[in-house]
Amino acid sequence: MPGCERLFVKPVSFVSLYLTIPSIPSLLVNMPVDQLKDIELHDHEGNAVQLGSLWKTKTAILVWVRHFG
Amino acid sequence: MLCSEQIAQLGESEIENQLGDLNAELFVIGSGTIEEAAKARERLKSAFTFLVDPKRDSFKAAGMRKDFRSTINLRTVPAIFRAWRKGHRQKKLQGDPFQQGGVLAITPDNIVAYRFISQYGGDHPNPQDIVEQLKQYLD
Repeated sequence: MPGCERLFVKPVSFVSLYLTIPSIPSLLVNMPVDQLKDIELHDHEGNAVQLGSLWKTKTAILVWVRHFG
Repeated sequence: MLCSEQIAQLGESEIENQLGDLNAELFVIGSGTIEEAAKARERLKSAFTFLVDPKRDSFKAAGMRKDFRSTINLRTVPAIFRAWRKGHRQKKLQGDPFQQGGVLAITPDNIVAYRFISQYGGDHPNPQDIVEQLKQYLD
């Protein structure tokens, strides 16, 4: 019956929508950093920092958090 | 609260010395103001440099998720409970609730050696995994 099929599928779809698979870290990502390196931000002391300068001489590990709160 | 937990976890993991040995440095980027970043750094007793990105340009450029589904997600519930048990409390809602974070490690030759895109609130990488994967890349 078409009606029964819809009743069965809908809850499954709803659950799968809100159960996202955790992210898997990936190595050697072919990702361009050109867009990132020209962005200028400020540090916690108010100094202007160009993102590209962070990985000029050493590896930069950038951790993005939604907010500092 | 989940962000505070992640920053605190990075500090507790004591990866700073290991990163120094790998010629790497960690920076925390958030969407607040300079004052909020300074206060959070002091509150969490963090030694890392905090950077503020109120317009979230770097979030977009780095490909971080920003959608309803990643925030209103069943997997966030245990993450909130985990953070709450560690003493982190939600104060007023700050920033864009639909914005998620992540981690990139970028080497001086402009290679992304590690990437982690958070799929829901509280989806954080283990700090030790970041170090291990960076070691693997550098070897």
